Amino acid sequence: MDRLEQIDEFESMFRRSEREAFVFVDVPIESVALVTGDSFNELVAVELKRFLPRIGDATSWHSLGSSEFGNVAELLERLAAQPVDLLVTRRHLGEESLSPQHSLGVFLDELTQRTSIPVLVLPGTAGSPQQLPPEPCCRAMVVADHISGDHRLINFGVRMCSEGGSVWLCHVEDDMVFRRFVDAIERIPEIATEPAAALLEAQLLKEAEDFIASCIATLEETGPEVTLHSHVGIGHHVREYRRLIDEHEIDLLVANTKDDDQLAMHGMAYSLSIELVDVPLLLL
Amino acid sequence: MQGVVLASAEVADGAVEHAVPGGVTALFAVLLVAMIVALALEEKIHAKKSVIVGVFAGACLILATALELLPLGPVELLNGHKIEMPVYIPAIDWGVITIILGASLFVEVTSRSGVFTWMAISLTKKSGGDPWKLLLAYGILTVLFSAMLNNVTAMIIIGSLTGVSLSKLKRTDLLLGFLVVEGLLTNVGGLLTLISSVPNIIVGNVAKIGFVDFFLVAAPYVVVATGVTLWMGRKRFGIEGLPNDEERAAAAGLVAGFDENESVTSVKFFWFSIASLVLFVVFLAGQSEIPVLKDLGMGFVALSFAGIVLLAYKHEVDKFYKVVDWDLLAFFAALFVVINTMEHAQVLAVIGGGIEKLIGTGVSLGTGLLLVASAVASAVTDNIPLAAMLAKILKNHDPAYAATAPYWWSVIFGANLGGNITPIGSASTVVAMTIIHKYELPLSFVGFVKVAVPFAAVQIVIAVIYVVGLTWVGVLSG
Repeated sequence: MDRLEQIDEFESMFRRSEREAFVFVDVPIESVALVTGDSFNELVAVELKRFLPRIGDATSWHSLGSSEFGNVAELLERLAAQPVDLLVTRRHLGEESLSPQHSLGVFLDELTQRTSIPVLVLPGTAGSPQQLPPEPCCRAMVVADHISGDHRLINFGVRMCSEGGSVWLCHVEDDMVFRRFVDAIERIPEIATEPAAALLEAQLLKEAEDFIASCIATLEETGPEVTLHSHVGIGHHVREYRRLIDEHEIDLLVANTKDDDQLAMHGMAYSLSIELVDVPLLLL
Repeated sequence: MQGVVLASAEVADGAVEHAVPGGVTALFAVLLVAMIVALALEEKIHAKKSVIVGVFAGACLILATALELLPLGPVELLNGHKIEMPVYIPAIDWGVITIILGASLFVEVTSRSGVFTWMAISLTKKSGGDPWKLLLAYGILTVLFSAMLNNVTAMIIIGSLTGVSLSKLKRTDLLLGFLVVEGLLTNVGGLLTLISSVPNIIVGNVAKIGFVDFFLVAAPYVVVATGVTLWMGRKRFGIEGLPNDEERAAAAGLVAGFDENESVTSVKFFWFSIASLVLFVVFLAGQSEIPVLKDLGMGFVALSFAGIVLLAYKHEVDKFYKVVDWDLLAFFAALFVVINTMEHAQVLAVIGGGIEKLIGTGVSLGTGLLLVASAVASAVTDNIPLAAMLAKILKNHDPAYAATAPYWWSVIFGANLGGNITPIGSASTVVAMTIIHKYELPLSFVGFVKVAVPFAAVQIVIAVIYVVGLTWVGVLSG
């Protein structure tokens, strides 16, 4: 083993010992903006206070009707003038006549990318809206393909769950991406494929497991009264989350949409938002 | 250990006392210089040390045999029995080889317990991420690890942790200063015990300096030189403490994220390794007084402890055999052969004549001059051949120097500290430069010399004052 390899070995050892400790913050949600279509805003406010009791005490609720904005730029202008902590909207807002099926709609797409405001997406679409579940949200699921260090995502997930409810912290590594790396390793004679693949998989999952363990320890000590569960694995994002949602009868899905590398929505969040139409989503 | 007895037997027969034509001596001297130059250019000629010295050892053996310089024939043992063996076998100092083999295996196995990384991460957390405290922690660890392991492993462990922790603290602007100071401290730490560096092992073995005696002489110097080097490093590289509570809290939060237990795979083996390390030092310290062990030597202790800890991995010992630095061991073996032929060709006697002149200037001046000369020589070439050659020359002095003679210490201090003058002066400074280049930090060969020379000069001056001072007060005696 040459010197560089030895240095690299120790650096890996030290990097592996780095832990990101979860920091709990009770995310403040004091103002909510409803952009759900003129005839729905009032009804949605009532449903929402029932579904998410922990945001029910928000001090200001704003209803933005179609007369107040004609396009995305005007809506963003309104939101900039009156900042809010949560935005509630639907898929395909203002596009009912187009009958879209495999998109989110311009408003939702732009809102998630152009503002830092969390967006709660109601189930269904603007054309065929669905009601929020009649019971308070007591089963929230936080999903990510890189959950380590994502304090904000988890804090929002915990914030949305009712007292005494359950929060699932989930991290699913994309099996296709993983397979591509293993395929590449298989073509490198200097690397033994089986142990390398096993080590890579173990390390990918370990980081998420360590961070989730830190979240659970911190939240049990300082967080609200919720039960935490975790799921860490490799699989197909949408299929795996769909399975978990069905299996645990999830009321609300929480996911990140921002991607540091691009202006468009994060790939996984986009597919989930399009495919899981019947589940309320909180997009950060 | 039979080899040790054989080597002693060969030396005892006085075979080196024979007339050699001046031209032959000159020819071998040229070969010696060529080997030293080739070692200095090791990186340029892309050849490992063992190959370079092996080639010269082969050439020397062929020439010396052809010119009838070597005492061929059976080797006479101490008990009077004669044994047939190749002439180059008793030329090797097997005592040194066994110490290095045993100690490196022992360290390799115990380091698997995570004990050294545990210590390094624990101290990182204790420092609270404060740069000055971190430098103190890493500096002290570098010295301790250099003393307990070897200076190369110490530099690799501490250097790699420095890169990771300063990146986490977003203080990579201090990385160059940290790495340079750590590199310079490896050679100071290498002075602490008899087995901390190869020159110590070679000279200590030849001079018959005990483990405890070595430590008692070296430790005060190491403490002072470490303190001075850290203080100079702080001033030279502007490594200051954090100014306010807010920054201290933020830094502490970042380093608190390190988990020192991550590398500890088995708590049982972790404590077993700590106990083994303590016992290893105790046995090395007491070896010269313990019946049986005092006859079997320090190499036996090292090999025995390697064997004991290997029991923990008895089904996969081959994994540890693979990581032994065979290049280094083969290099030593070949080097001893070269030096043996140089002795028979009277090259060492000629060099010894020059050293006599240095020593002849008086105990104080001679000690100082020998130390400085050793340091300068080891700055530009490998300090191991230098130490081996000088130890042999001093050993051949008539009358024989006692273990307390200051000249041994001149060679030990000079050979170790000279490595701090240039980046190729020692293996650990080469490692420091490798890490510096890995992080794309701007430091050239000349740049290193400019930065390091003031540190090395101060360390060498302190060493001269210290060794001469010990001679004046009678701890060492010429």
